[in-house]
Amino acid sequence: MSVRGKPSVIRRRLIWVIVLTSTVVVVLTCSAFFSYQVVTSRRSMLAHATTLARAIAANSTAALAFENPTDAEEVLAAFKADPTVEFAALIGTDGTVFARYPRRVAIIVPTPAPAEGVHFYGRKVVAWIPVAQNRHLQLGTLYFSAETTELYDALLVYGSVSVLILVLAMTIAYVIGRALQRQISEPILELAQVAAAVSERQDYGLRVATVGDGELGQLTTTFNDMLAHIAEQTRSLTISEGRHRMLFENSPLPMWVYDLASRRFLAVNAAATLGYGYSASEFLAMTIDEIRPASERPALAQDMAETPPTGIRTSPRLWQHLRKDGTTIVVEITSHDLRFGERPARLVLASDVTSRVHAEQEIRRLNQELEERVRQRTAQLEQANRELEAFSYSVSHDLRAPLRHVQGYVSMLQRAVEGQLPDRAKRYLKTINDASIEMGQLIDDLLEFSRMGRTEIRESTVALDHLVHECMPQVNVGSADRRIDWKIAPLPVVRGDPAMLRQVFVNLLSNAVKYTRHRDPALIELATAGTEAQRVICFIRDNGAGFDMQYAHKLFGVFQRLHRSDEFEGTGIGLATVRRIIGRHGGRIWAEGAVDKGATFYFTLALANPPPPDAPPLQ
Amino acid sequence: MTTRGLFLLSTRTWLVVVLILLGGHRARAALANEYEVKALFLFHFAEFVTWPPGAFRDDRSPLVIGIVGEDPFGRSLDDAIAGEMAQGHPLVIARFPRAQDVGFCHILYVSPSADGEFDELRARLRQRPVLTVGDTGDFVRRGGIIRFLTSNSRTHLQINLSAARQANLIISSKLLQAADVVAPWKGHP
Repeated sequence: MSVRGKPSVIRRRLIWVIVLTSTVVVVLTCSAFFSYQVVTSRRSMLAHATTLARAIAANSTAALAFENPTDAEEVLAAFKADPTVEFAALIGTDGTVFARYPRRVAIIVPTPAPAEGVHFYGRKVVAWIPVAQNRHLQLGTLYFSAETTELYDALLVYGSVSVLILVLAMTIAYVIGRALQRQISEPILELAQVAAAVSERQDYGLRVATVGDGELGQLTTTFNDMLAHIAEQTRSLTISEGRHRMLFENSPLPMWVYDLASRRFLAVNAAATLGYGYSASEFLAMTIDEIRPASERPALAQDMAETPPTGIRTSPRLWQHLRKDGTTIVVEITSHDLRFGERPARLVLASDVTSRVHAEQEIRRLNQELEERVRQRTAQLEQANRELEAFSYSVSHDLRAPLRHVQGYVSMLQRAVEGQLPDRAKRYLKTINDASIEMGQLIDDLLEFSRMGRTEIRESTVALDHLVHECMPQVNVGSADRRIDWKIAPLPVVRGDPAMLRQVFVNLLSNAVKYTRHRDPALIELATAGTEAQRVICFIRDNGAGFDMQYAHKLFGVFQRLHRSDEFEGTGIGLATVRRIIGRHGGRIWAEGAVDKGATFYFTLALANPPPPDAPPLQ
Repeated sequence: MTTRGLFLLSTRTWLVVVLILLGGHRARAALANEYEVKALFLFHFAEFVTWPPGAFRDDRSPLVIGIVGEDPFGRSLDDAIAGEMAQGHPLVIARFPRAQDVGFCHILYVSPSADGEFDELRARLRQRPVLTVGDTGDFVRRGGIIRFLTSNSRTHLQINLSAARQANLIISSKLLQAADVVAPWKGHP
């Protein structure tokens, strides 16, 4: 079995490994034994030669000592037993050959003399043994040479046998290897095949047949698991991708992805094509610079150069974008860096806020206009007020003069015609006088009213108790014969213009006195009722004629009277003045009442020592 | 002859004279060599013969080589044994002028001049561990143990084993191999 018809590499490798290992082992073993054989053979050769040499040397002492060459030759003849000995000689102390073996062989005594003992010289064993009967008297030397061809022949045989064994071993190793390697190579080959098929066809449904336990089994099992996992992942990914595609395409806001390096559009959705007028293919041929007016491009370049924070972010500024038809829109950009395929890219959501921006601009413009108008109006009003006040003052002032004349001449007339006029005429004159007095009062009130509007407040600390006490004489004018129950509580110290505040109390208290005329006793109460926004609430309550709450809003109007002048005199300016004063002091004034049930007038004034915010309210 | 007279001799005559002188020298040299060899052999005997236990007082006592009769060795024997040892024993020479002077020794060389006294000597040395060595032709037949036989300027050895046995001496087989073993005459050991 092979992958795609090519010879299997792993099979070859495995067989090669087995054969190589076996060969190496056999070679090593044979070499070891061979070397051992060589060494021991040589050693035994030397030992044998030495033994022989020593024995013969020992035997030849007498022959040398007693110079008996015949005997010496006989002794040397013992070498016949060893066929490897080429020649042997006994050499006398004078260096001449004393005896030789074989009989007629030519002996060349080596010079310089070889090393004592038995050694290998080239391929021969050479012995050079001193012959001595006792330790220190050398009688001669035994010299012989033996061939070693036998040894080498033996070694040659051994070598050949080794080579044969080697070849045999290699063959057997090959055969066994071939059979056994299958266990490893087959699963691996199958694994390789399946892996190649998976890679080629992207088919993650393929599986490898498992091979039981061990590492290979584990490998195949893991491989199968991985394939299953990949298949699962791919499926999830495809679904997820589909969803994302759908979201992207169907988003009502323009969205696109562009490549961070090249700034080209990589993907655009339908809303983008609608919003900008380019088709999808046109978009994909453009870079993001081309949807901006030229003026924005430097800012864009700078923004691109900065390292953005991670995650989804909204650009702090609004951008101008250019549509295909040349119009400019203002957009708010939300972006998110991601990887599109392999490239770093940016996903952008562009929200068209042009109309909103225009609306904001319009609002701002309108606001400015409004403010301008208000300023103008206020100026106008102030001007009108001032003119009115001036007019009122001058009118009042100018009216007084003729009035004085009238009053003067009426009294003069009265004196002049005293006793001459009929009662009717006297009544007519009285009426004229009363009317002129009333008119004068009216003019005074009007003057007062206008003065209240014009003069500056001189703010100082005013002790209300003291103020009220000072007012009482003026208030009580004409009520000496009445029974009035005054219930005046302690009043705080306030801030305000003393003169104006006096006017307030005079007006209000006078009113109370006036409208309780028909009550016996008249009950007039003056006290405080807590605080409102750090201002003290004062009130004046009476049990007089009261008023219909339905008309409460008219109470403080100029010239507004809720009672007929024959019931209660008055010009109708008093309360208007009071309201003006209170208003100028920053307070407010209101009234509660019921017809014939009395009235209560409340007003607020700033305290001179305002209590801390969480202090209990004044009672 | 006067010096003049010498000059007057003919060249041929001078040649003969020189040759004779040389030959005489050679003969004398050969003669000297022979006794050097014998001296060496005497020394070597000490290595190849085993004496009985009582022959030496201890391991260091000297091995005595005796010479009875005229000493033919000159300095040879002295040179041969100078500074040497045999079987661990130092070697000394003892010279005895006549047979009756022979004292304690291990090897006794019977000089040809004392050959006539040998029988008497043998009787005196009976069973004493002395290695008797001689030159004369019938030395070993008469009971001597080793005889030097010189022929063709080589010195051979003759050995009488039974005489050695009688003297309680053990001769190494190597020596025996190098020598001729000869039987004594009847009636002699």
